[in-house]
Amino acid sequence: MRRKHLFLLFVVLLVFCSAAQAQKFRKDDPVWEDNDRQPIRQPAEVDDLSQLADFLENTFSHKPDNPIPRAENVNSLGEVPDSSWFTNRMSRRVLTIEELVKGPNRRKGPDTSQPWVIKGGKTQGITPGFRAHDSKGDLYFIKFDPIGYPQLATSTEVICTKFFHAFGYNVPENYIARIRREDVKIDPDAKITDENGVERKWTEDDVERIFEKVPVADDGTVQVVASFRLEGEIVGPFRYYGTRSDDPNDIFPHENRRELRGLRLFAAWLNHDDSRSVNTKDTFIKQGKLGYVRHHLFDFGSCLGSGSVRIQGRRAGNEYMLEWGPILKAALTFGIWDRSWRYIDYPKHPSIGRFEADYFKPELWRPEYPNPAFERMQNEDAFWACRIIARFTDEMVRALVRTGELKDPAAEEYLAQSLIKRRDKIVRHYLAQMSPLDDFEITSQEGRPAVGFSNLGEISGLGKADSYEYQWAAFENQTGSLKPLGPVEVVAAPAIALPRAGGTGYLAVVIHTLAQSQKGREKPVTVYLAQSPLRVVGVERE
Amino acid sequence: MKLQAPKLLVLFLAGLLIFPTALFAQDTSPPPPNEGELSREELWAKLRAEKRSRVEPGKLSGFESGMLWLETKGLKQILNFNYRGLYTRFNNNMSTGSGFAPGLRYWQPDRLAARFDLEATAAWSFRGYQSYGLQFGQIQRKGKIFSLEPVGTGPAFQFDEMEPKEAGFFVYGDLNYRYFPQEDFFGIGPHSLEENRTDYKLEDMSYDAVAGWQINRWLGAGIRVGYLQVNTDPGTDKRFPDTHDLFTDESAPGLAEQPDFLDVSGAVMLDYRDRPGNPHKGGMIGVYFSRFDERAGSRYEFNRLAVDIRQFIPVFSEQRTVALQLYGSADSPDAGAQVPFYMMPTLGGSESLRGFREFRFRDKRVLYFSSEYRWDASPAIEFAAFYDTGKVFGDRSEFRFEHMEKSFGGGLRLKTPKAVVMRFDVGRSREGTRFFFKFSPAF
Repeated sequence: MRRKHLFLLFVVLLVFCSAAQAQKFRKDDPVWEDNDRQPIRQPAEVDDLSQLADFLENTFSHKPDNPIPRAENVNSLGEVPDSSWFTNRMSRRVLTIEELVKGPNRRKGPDTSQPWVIKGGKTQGITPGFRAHDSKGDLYFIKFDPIGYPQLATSTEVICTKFFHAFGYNVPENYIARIRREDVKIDPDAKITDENGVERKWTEDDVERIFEKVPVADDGTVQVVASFRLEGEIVGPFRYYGTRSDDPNDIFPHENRRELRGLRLFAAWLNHDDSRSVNTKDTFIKQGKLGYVRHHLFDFGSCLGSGSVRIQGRRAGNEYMLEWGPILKAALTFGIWDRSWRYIDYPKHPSIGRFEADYFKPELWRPEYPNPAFERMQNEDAFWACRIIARFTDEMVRALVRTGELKDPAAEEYLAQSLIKRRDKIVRHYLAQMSPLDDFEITSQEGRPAVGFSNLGEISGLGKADSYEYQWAAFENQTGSLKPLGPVEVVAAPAIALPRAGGTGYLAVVIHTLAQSQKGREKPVTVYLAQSPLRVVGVERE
Repeated sequence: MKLQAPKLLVLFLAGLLIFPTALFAQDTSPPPPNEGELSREELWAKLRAEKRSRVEPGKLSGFESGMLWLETKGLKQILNFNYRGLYTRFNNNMSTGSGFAPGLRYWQPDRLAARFDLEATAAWSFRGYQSYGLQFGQIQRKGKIFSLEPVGTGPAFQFDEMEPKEAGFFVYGDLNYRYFPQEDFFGIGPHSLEENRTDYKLEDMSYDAVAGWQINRWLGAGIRVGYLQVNTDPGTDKRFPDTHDLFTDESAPGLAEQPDFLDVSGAVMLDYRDRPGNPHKGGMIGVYFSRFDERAGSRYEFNRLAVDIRQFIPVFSEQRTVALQLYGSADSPDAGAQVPFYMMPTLGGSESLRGFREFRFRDKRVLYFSSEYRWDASPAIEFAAFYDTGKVFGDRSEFRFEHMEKSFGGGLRLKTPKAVVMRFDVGRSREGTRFFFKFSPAF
C-alpha cells in the first residue's frame, strides 16, 4: 500500500516539476544570506501609519489569494536566509543560555552612577515616559509600569525582547533599570508638549506627575525599561504586506516573507497580540553616503499578560477587535451565546497580568486584528517557526524569564510554566501537520555516504518512530523529472545510505516515518542531494 | 460509443498535462542560456536591479493619509481640538431636545501657586440653544463637575458622571448662563394632552459657589450655594402655539413673572459601578436636597428631594447585564407657595420614558423606573431592550400605581471600554415611536 503511495508521490512530483519547466536548484543553493543590504540612497521617512487605517485595511482587505503562494524569501531548504530582516540564531543552531540572556544587548545597560538627565518626552497620555541621557551620555527612552501592576510592562518588555531576538528578529536593546525620583534631573533645554498642545520647557512638576502615576517599590525605587535608541535613522514602520517602494532591496512582498508569516507562531507563544505595523520600525543604516534599510520589531509591552498600560484584556489573543462570527452569534441570540474566554481563571499575579496556557490553542490564537502575513501562514511557514520554538528547552525558557527580574518567585515560576506549556502545545499541534523529520545532513553509514536526519517528533516527546520508509530517485534538475532508483526500503535508524550507483546529477529521497504513535507520520518529506560536491540542496514537505 | 472531436482534444490536452515527461524526458539538449543559469544570489540581485529602476518615494495612499489626518489632527481638531487650552466639545450640558450642540471649552488647570483651575465653556445648538459657563477654583477633575447642577429645566437626573472620580477636596465658583429658545410644555400633571404642545423661551443665569469632598473612589458629597435668575418669554418654534397663549399663570405657575432665587443644595453620591460610563455590575445611589428661596416674596419657595438609584446586574456573564434605575423627585412648596412650572421635574425624551417627547410630563413629583436588558455583541457593540414606566403627580396623596405611562424599545450602542460613545434608541409608547441618537448612555 505504502509503495503505491510513494509511486503516486513520484508521479505528482514529476507532473508538478515538469509543468514548471524551470531549473529547480541553482548552483549556489542553498543560500544562507540574502544580500538585501546593497547600498541605496536614504529613503525619506514615511509618515507614521494611521492606526485606524491599518485596522480597517487589515480587517477588510489584504485577504489572501487562493491558493496562497509559497513564501518567496526562502532558500531551497525552506529556511530563511540572513537579511536586513532576520538573522538565523536559534533556527540554525542552539544558542547558549548566555547568548540567549544577553540577547540584543551590546552594553552593560544604562550607567546610573549620575542622575538621568531628561532631554524630552511626554507626561500626558496613557504611556508616560521620557527620553533621557544616562551618566555616559547615551540616550534611552524610559518607560514605566502602570500603577497597581509593578514590573508588569517593563519586565514583559525585556523578557520578550530576548525571545524575539533569539528567534532571529532585529529588536532594540531594552534594559531594566531602577530609578528614584531624585535620580532624575531636567536638561534646561528639554521641551515637552503639554496637555494643551503647547510646547514648553520641562518642569519639576512634570516629573512629579509621572512619578505619581507609577508603582514605587518598598525601597523607593521605580522599575523602568530603558530602551536604547535604535541604530540608524528611523524611516518609518514596515507593513505586513507589499514592499517599500523606495527600497530596491525590498523585493519580496512582506506577506510572503516566511519570517513574517511564521511570526504568528512566535506571537502566539508570547501572546504578542499587538504584532502590527505600528509596532515596527525601519531604520536607515548609513555606510558612507549610502546605506540600507534594516527592519525591526519594536515595543513588546503588550505581550504575555501585559497590555502595556494595564493588564492584558481577556479578548487579547482570543478574538479580533472586529470579528463578525462571534458578534453575530452574540447579537442574534440576545447575548445567550457567550465567549468561553470570558471565563478563563487567571491567577492573581500583578506582575504577570492575564497570561495562561490551559485555555490556549495555538491554531486559534489571534492578534488584535488580522495581519496579512499571519493570514498567509502555511504549514511550511508554521513548521519553520515551530522547529525554532521546539529548540527552546525548559532551562532556556526559565533563563529568559529570569531576565525580567521579577521579584515574586511564584509569579516567575508561573510565567515559566505557562510558557513551557504553551510551547508544548504549539509543538504538538504544528509538528503534526507535516513530517517532523529535520536537520538533514550528509553523514556516513557503514562507510557509505548517507543522509542523516533527526526526528523532531521524537525529540519533542510526541512519539517514537518505529522505522523510516524511503525510496531513492534520480532527479533531473532542468525538467524536474524523477526516476526511481530501486525499490522502497525501510531503515530503523535516522540515516539512509545513498544508492550505490554513483553519478554527478541530483538525487532525491522520499521518506515516510513509520510510527503508530506519531502524528504527521503519513506526510512525506523529499530530500534533494547534489552529488558534486555531495550536499543536501533541498527539502520539501507535503 | 463514438468519441467526438472536442473530447479527443480534451483527452490530448489532459495527456499533455499528465505525461509531459513522456514528451520531454528524452530531450537532453542543454537549455538555452537564460535566467535559469543564474545563481540564486544573481537572480535576486537581478530582481533588485529591476526594482531600482522603478523606485519611488514611499507615500501613504489617499485613504491612509486621510485617516492619519483624522487621527492625528482632524479628529483632534474636530472632537478634541486643543489650542492652548481651547477645546471643542460635543457632549454639552444642553437641554434635552436641543439638538446637536457643538461647543468650546477653555481649560487651564493648575494655574498659579494655589493650583487654581479655570474652565470656560460655550455651546450652541442647531436649534438656537446657547449655554455658557465659567468655573474657577479647584475643580473636581474627573468626569463632569460634581452634579449639583443649577436647577432649571435641565435633565431631572442629577448624577451622570461617567468617569471614576479622584479623591480630594474641591471648591470653586460656578457661573452659568443658558438660553433655551423653544422648550416644550404640555401642561402640568399626568393627564396633560399631547395636542396641547406649546413652547416657551427660557433664560437663566446662576451664580454659585461649590464645595465638596470626594472621599474616595466611591463616596463623595458636596454643597452648592447660589443665586438664580430666570426669565421666560414666548418660544421661537413657529409650529406650535406659545405657552403664554394656551396657559395661564394658574395652569402654569410662574408663567407671568419669574422671581430670582437664593438656593442651597447638598448631595451625596455612593458610586460602586465597575465602570461608570459603561457599567456591567455594581450600582449607584445619589441623594440630592435643595432649598429654593424667592428673593422678592414667598410665592415660589420650595424644597426638593431627589433620589436616583441604579443597579447593574450581570446575568451569569458580563456579556449580559440587567440595568435598573429608580428615580424619584419630590418638590414640597411652603404653605401657600408653588413650584414654577419651568423648574418642575419632567418625564419624556431620551433619558426617561423614551416613547414620549421631551418634557412630555411634568409636575412637582416624579417617579420613574427603567429597566434594560443589555447584551454585548462585542466589547464595542451593545444591544439593549428596554422598558420604562413612570408617572408625574402633584401631591403625595395623588400617587397611585395606576395609569403609569409606559414605553418600550431597543437600542444599539457603540462603546469604548470606559464609556458609551454613541447611542441609538427607538422607543415606542401610546403616543408613537421616538428615535434618539445621543452621545451619552441611557443611564
